[in-house]
Amino acid sequence: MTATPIRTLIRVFTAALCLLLACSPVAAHPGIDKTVDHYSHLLLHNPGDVAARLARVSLFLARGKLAAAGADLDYLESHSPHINTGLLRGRIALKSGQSGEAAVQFSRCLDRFPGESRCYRLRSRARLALGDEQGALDDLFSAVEFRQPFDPGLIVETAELAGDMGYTAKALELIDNAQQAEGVIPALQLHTIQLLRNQGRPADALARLNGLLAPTPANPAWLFLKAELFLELGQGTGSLEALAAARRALRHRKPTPWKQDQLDSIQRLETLIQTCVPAASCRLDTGWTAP
Amino acid sequence: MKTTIAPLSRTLLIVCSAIALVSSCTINPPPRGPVTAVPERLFLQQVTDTGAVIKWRGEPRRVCLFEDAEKSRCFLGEVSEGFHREATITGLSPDTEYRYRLDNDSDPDFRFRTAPRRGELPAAGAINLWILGDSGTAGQEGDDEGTHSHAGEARAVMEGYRSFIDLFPGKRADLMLLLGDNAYMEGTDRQWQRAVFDLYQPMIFQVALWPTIGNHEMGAQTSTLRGKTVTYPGISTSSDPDSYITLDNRSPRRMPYLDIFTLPTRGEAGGVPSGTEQYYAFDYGNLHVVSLDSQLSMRDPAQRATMKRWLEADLQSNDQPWTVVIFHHPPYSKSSHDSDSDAVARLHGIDDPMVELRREFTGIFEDYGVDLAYSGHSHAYERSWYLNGHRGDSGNFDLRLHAEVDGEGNPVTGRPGDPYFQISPSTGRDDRVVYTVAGSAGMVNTGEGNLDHPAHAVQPADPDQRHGLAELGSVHLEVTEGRLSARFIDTDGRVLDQVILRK
Repeated sequence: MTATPIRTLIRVFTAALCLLLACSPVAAHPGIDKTVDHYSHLLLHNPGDVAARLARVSLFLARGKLAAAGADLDYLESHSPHINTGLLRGRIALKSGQSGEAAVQFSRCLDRFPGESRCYRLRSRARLALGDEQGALDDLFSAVEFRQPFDPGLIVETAELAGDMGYTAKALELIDNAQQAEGVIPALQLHTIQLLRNQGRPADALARLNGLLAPTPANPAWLFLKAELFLELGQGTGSLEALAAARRALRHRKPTPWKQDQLDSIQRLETLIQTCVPAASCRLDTGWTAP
Repeated sequence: MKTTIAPLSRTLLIVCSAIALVSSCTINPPPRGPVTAVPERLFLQQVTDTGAVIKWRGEPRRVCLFEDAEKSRCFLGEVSEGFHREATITGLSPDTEYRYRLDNDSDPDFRFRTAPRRGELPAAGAINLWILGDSGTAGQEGDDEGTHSHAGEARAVMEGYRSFIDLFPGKRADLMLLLGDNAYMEGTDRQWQRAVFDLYQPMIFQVALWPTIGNHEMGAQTSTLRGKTVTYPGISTSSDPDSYITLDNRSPRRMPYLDIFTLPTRGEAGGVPSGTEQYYAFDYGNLHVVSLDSQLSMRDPAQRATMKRWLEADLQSNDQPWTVVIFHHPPYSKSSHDSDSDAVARLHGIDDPMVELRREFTGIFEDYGVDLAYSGHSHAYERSWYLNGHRGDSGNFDLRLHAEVDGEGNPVTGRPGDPYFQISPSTGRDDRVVYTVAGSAGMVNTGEGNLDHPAHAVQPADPDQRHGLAELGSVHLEVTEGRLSARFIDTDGRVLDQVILRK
């Protein structure tokens, strides 16, 4: 048999099947209930259709039918042990505010799939909701350890929690290690600057900020931050110079709402410094932020 | 009747291509791409004012760059992900044409031109971009046999662009922006080959590709139907690029997109380092372009927050006269996808980024002076009025409140003779954005939508004067010192819509 008749047969078969399937509600997205009916019909004829059952779980979840979703997951657990039902159950529980149940399910996920970064990350959120900060932090560090490829959002999430719990050194180390591998990333470095400010270490924060400004010297927001750090160091002159640089950087910028906000902030800070006597050694408390 | 046929055709598209995939894999080996004297895959990445990345697959181990008749430099192609080789070329001069050749002397020469110096225009006077959303239909299996209903449509769009360029040779593209869903149905490496690397030769030997991630870049979910395995592609709601699966391989793995493209993570091409290839920025002359990840990073609150911080840092550092943002999911659409929150909710997560973008990101675009935003996802052309402050559903849109209007309360159209001004005359600020859905570079399908989103401009070229065009086409963007001019070009090379933004 040559390829052409086979191709023709396939075309005929495909056309017929397409016409049949065109009535399927699935791809047309007519609404969740009809789509659930469709999957239910499929499962009636083929209960072992894992993908259809998983799809129905997500639809039940979208409709808030948690018991029905749970029943499908029960079936999957007994018939398809390779499916990560712990992750699914955990997500369902987390979404419905059942943090305890979510944590249990993510633990089951990790028992069966060790090194599953998503389960560590989500269990951390469940544990945080339960008030178990240490457990949440440990989970996030595990999520970082197993996560590939690099995810800046996960690093920030972990560092934020570590910082909130007072583990500033740990948070800094995490970000520094990440940046050593990936290069300096402003979204991460700005977080370290905030951590150091909160710790009353404006000089260290300033050193890091200068590192950010080296390749991007005309970022007005960073220059304004520099002015704030100078004030925290009691260096009013340096602060005024940084504010002047921020003004210069803004001079040729388009008149955006953000530019106006920046100019207003600069004006307020300059006025504040002028009230210091002497202005050159004006100092603001650590962690001061623009009015 | 129209609303009945549209979803039907969408269903056919999905199911037929899936079945065609099964049949072609098992019985009829798919044809290879066109035979050329060049490697299977050759393309440019990160062409800047001082360098470029040349990527290829195949035997050649190095690439040689000819700076003039006498002088050449050769670079070893480092082996990178996805069995590519890539050479990072540095030390080039701005706005200069270079000839290059892979190491086989019998291979032809190729040429590319470096970007103009940052903040400047090229000597030719304008920067030209070709923008393609949802162009990936050529990558569907079976298209050569004509079994796919959209066979040849991406090619027709390309021919339309070429016809336009024939009329205006000076507007030949300097770079290409891909708005996602550029390799249907699952974004496999092979589908990328057919939908992009085979189709857009020799253009991609000459200009850089700058992509963004669409839902079809994240593979498929599968189901068994009456004994046949069919694919439901493009419906992943995962935020994890390692959770990519396809019909023939359900082991979660890294999405091919990230192996194929080499995108700046450390600010290599301008812009602030993002630390990830999923979102990035670059400069080209006096233009700043930002590519956001609406498919993955948008779906997780921590990842979204980090992307947002990066975006703000990037736009704070950006002093370029013009800024364009690209992402796949449109914040305003009434076409094959509906951006209203109840419609998004009905799709149980698939289209959530449309709402998230509108609520959380459009305000940033306005605050920092973004000029144009381009998306795909919906398979038609929709181009907005000059917008500010519209975060709600289409029913909450107020023309006088959210669009630039003239003294009589009529919306400014942005067309020649009635252009938009970067600094809005009504507010005195650069706080408005034109949003364009350009998702018809591979197919037209308005689904259950009626092209009636009031945030989009009424299109005189539409037979029913709707707020969009159900036409195949792509966007050509021309950047000059004082003007952005974006044209929607159909398959005959005709300009069906033009929007102008002036200083």
